[in-house]
Amino acid sequence: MGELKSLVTDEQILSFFNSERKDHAFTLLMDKYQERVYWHVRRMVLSHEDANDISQNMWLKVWRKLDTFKGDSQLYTWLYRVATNEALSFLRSKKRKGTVAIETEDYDLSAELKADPYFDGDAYQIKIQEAIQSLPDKQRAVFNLRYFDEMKYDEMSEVLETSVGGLKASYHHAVKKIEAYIKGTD
Amino acid sequence: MRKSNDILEELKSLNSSLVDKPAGNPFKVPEGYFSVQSESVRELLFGQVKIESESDVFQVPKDYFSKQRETLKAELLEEKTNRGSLRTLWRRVGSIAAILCLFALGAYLWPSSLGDDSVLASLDEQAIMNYLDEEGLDEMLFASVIDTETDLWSEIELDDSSVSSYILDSDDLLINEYLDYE
Repeated sequence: MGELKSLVTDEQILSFFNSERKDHAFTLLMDKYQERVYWHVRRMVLSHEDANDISQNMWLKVWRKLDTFKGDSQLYTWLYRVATNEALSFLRSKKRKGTVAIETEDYDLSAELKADPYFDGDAYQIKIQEAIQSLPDKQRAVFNLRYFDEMKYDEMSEVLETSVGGLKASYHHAVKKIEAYIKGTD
Repeated sequence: MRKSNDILEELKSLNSSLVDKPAGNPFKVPEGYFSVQSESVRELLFGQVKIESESDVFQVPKDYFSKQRETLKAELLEEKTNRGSLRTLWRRVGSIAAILCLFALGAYLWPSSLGDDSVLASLDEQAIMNYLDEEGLDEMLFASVIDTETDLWSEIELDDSSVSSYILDSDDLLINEYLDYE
């Protein structure tokens, strides 16, 4: 399956999808991008359970909306856009409900990450996660896409529908904030 | 540690301390998670898609199936009632026909077995002749035979063969009688 994932192009997947082989196309698409999309969402929300819910909803949405994909952007940046929007909506909704404890003073993300059976990071990784979580949601998405996913700015521009210049500025600010956070907690 | 790429170069150009830091993934997922998620999403989707496509192509009016069941029930009930009344009618007709047949058979058999002519027909002609001879009633024989013959001929097609043979025998006798007279 790994070889198949790398061999099948997005164009082939789309042509399958447009030729009444939608099930087959969707399977290929999910096999190819499922993990990348999940990790992107996971870095945004940290919890595996939340990431699971969001990514599952995202794939359901992809299936329903793939018909409307016009090809103005690359398929994979479109997938990332859907995933990012789902994650941002989730975080907004959580804040509205007041269930996000991260912004309160007595919230201990470090303790939560240490207690998480699906987190295996060292002290530095806990710290950088804390620093990233201190960023505004959209800036966090910019930082994660660039720093962890190593995405190009023009691709990020397709995902976040923001200009390349704006993204560069946002990323640079994020880097400085994180550095400052890490230095401040050393 | 990152391999050299434009992200690393960018961090260097920003004089960021993150250049020297690892950017590994500290997060984990349960074992086999991705295949399980993939299967559950597909199951969820393709089940749903099946229902959607079926309902798109083949639509029925609202409450169609419940109405259809009601209509079928009503039709079956009506048919059962009709069949029941027809059966009752046929039974009545059959009973009447059977009774009529019995009457017809009775009417056919009963009177012929009780009539005088039939009683005479069942007697042996020689016995009759002997009886008439003994009683001195020979003279009456001709007239009696004529009457008998007329009656018997009128029933010849309905009566049995013994009566026919009696007629033939009587004719023979009559012929002899005539010869004797002439």
